[in-house]
Amino acid sequence: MSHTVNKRKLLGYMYMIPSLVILIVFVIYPVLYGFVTSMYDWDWVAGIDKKLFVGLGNYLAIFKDGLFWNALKNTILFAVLSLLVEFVLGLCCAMLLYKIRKGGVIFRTILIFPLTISDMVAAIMWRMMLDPSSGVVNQLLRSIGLKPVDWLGNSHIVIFTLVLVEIWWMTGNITLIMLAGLQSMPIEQLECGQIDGANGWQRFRYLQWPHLRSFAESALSLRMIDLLRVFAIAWAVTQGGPNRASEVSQQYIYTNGLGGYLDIGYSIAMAILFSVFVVIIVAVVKRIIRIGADE
Amino acid sequence: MKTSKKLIALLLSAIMIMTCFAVMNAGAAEEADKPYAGQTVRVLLNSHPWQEAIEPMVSEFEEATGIKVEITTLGEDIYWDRVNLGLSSAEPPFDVFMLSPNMTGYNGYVNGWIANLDDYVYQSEEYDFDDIYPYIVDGFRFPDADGSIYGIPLTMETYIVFYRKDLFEEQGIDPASLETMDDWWTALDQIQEAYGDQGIAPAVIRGQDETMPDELLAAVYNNWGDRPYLAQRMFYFDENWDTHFTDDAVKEGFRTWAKLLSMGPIGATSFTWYECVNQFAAGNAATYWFDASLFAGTFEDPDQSLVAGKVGYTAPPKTATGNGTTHWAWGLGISEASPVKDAAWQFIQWGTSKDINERTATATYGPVRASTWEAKSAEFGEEYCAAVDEALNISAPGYMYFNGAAEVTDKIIDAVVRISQGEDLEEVMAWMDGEAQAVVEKEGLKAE
Repeated sequence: MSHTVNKRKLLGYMYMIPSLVILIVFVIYPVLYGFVTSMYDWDWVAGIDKKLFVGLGNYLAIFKDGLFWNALKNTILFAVLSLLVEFVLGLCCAMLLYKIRKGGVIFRTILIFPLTISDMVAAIMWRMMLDPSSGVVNQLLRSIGLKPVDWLGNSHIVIFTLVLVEIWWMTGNITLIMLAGLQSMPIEQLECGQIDGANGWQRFRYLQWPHLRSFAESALSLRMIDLLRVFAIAWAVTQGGPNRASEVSQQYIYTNGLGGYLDIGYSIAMAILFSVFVVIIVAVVKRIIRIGADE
Repeated sequence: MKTSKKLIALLLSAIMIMTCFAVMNAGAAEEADKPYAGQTVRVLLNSHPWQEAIEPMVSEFEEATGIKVEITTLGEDIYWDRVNLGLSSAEPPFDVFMLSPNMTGYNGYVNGWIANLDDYVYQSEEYDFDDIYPYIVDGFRFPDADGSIYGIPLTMETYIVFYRKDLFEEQGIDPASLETMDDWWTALDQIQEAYGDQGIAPAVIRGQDETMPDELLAAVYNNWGDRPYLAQRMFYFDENWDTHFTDDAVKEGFRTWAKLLSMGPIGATSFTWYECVNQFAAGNAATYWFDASLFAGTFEDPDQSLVAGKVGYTAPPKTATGNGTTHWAWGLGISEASPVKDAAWQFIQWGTSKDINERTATATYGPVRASTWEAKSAEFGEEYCAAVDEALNISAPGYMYFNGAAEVTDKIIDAVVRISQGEDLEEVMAWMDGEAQAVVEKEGLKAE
């Protein structure tokens, strides 16, 4: 009996081998290689063959690099603002779509449409629309007697410009997840609440929201990871300007690496440190949602 | 009868043998004529007027040489990254690529990724390599102007001033009388006064554009006078790698650029050359400063420009120290790891030949051969040719490359934008000086 169990176990492990090989080749090895590389001063401009071991030197240099922290601050600001607006808007849209009996498919398609566009296309499209002189947004403002806005060149506005593009692009994502949550809830509970005299807010707060919380947790976590990893939108819409007011972490890491300075060791060290920040921030977001659940 | 049959057979056999020889000879002649027939050359091009002009002509090259050409074209925003990445791989996905005298070329030279072309350029007398302006070729020599050739120029640009003749005439301003920068500032104020509320800005100039520091060198050189400086470090670093961003000429160059930027249309801070060209071509700016002479081709094309026939050209105006500008170029290089270097050279030789340089000149407005300028001057117009000629007379190569140059140029963009947004010039330039110093120290160029 025991022999058969061991054999079955062994067979189970053997089935895992293909996945394990793929995992090692495509995930574990690159991560380890990246980590080892981050310990080197490997500057391709000085010569690709010249690799100097500096231990944690690159990591220590990051702490003195004001531009890294500026980019991280911009990234967090962008991610938090986008997440809040996307979540509120996405939830509202999901509630409306849930209530709509006729034409729901049309509205759902309209909301989902931006999701089918790649980030780069969305960014270029919005850069054209927000062009201060010839863009349709400022033309619209002019036509109603308002002053045109310098969407891309004003350092006080530019991060909100990126948030605007992001919201247009990805709100549908939250809508879909929350709508799935709403539709998975038994209708009887809501009907009981209605019979018991609960108003709309009470039905949402005490019946729907507890059910939606796990959906919200998934949506918020996934979106937060995505938002922190923003690159194309900042790169194509504002190029990080003016004066680094919209430079985000991924962009700064890329510029230090293959996208400019070719300081490969340093950029990988930044990428690793940034990944740690992403994990911490997402853990904090999840914790915040859970605090609500514990109450 | 038998004899005649034999005779006919003999005759036919002789004809057959002769035909075979003839075919074999023709094949051999063709082989000698097309030694690289059957090879494929992969060409990576940046989206550029030259690329648009050359692509329809490539079939002529293929027919003449039997070499197959596979072209890939990328926008400039991703072009350099792809070149860097491609060159660094063991098997670059291209044999020929567009190159400029910038960090990509220098980096390729340092790492042995780009091919030395010294042995190729004088292979053919007909090619007449010396017809290509030597001061343009020098930008493609590494590690400096006395080094070996790593790229062959195909277009060149010098940085000049474009202005709307019609607006200046309407305001009774004679551009020929505007000799100094101060004269131009007064004229720009008048233009602002007259057209500001009509949506026409007095000036447009590159803002948040990674290529802007190349052009800014022209504005700095316009104030530099005849003092010496080190090529590749330009005006910013001396032989000891001490920084000179607080030098009066450098400060004045930055101040000029920032002031022109602040005079631009709404959003000018974020303009790359693309937006600048569009704005000027759409008639939204009265002048366009320190930018590539080859944009004249766009401005004079009625299909692309609303100001065709209304554009005037001039070399940068005089400052307290005289005047000066810089020039730049695009060229073609070969990746060192290319398995078809000789065939790749055939493509470059054809692409930069007298014939092709002349046939692409209308599109580029910046040919690199003396013979082409001679042939095309009537088409380009007297005023344009005079401005380019004057600019080249006072021009220096605007090439800055050393380990850390890319980081310094990014900080330069930050400094210019900050000054244009009203920050104190002295403070920003002192900050710039410190940042540049930190970069050269970090790169080990200067002992701490």
